[in-house]
Amino acid sequence: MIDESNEIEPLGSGNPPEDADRIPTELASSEDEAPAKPADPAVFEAEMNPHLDSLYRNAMRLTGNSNDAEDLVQDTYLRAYRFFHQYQPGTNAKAWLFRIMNTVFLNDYRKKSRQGDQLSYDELEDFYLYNKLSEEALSKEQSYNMANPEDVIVERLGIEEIEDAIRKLPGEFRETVALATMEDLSYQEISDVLHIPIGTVRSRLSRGRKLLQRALWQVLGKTDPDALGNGDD
Amino acid sequence: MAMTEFAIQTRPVTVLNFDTSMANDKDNEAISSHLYEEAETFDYYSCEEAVKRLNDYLDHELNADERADVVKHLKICKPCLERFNFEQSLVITIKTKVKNLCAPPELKSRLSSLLHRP
Repeated sequence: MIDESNEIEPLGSGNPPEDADRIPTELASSEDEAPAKPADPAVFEAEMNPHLDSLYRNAMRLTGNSNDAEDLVQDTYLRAYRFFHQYQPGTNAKAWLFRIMNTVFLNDYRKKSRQGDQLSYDELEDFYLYNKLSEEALSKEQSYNMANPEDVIVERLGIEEIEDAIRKLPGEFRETVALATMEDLSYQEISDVLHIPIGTVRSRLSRGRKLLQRALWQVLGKTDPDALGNGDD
Repeated sequence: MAMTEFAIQTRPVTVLNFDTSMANDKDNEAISSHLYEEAETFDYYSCEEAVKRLNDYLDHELNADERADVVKHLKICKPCLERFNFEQSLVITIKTKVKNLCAPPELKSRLSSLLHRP
């Protein structure tokens, strides 16, 4: 089901325009359309191409599949090119691209994207993964040294497990956690990208990272039926 | 956890070697300086105070003074130090491993040709 009450609003005021090629509202006011003369592709590429991998990863997290992710990257990239004159050199190009991607996604992709699994928000504890590893070490013959539980994580967690766990998070948590944890955006930049107050960034991060730890524990093959519901009950 | 259990440990045994490794990679001091203005003073003996700042600490969103407050607690609280270390390792692990996922080369060449089309 689409969560229409999502805090993330399409940008700007009023309803989003209907046409497929609409402008990210925060990038172009009504009198500030794309310039008649296109930007120099070489300049654009030099500035933006270093972030293509990050863009693709973000698109994968948003859409949940590689086909839509590629389309979303392409739409974002072309729109960024069209509005490159609005980019301020010296600011974070990655954050700028993510902001465009988020707008494109909300306008054109969200309805068909996966919404994340239903997770129970109850009893979100601090240091969930650390505690679980500690419990595991105590309950079994100690197969690893709890002096360095982080070594266990480094060893056991692969890219598949991480991406699986991220995909289990509800959208708003997934984006915030991913942008802070994986993409090195500051809280202010995340606030700008997602158009949410910085306090919301913090609260989503706080809950989202705890949810992520539960999801990681689950994808590591551990069962914890109380932690992750499937939404069927 | 009650701080009194650890208060007798006056000198840290574990070196805070994680503290500076990732610092200064963001321009963040201005962002967070107002965050905890309600808390007049940071209670160094309170695990709760430190844990409240965990994410800001991990993401370098604390200014120098706020960060020093947290570090001061970690120096006298081994359980928190271990947990903070773990959380930091987890973040670094995730960050490092996901960077291996790249955009497909076909997508990159398609974007290039779209940009350079006549």
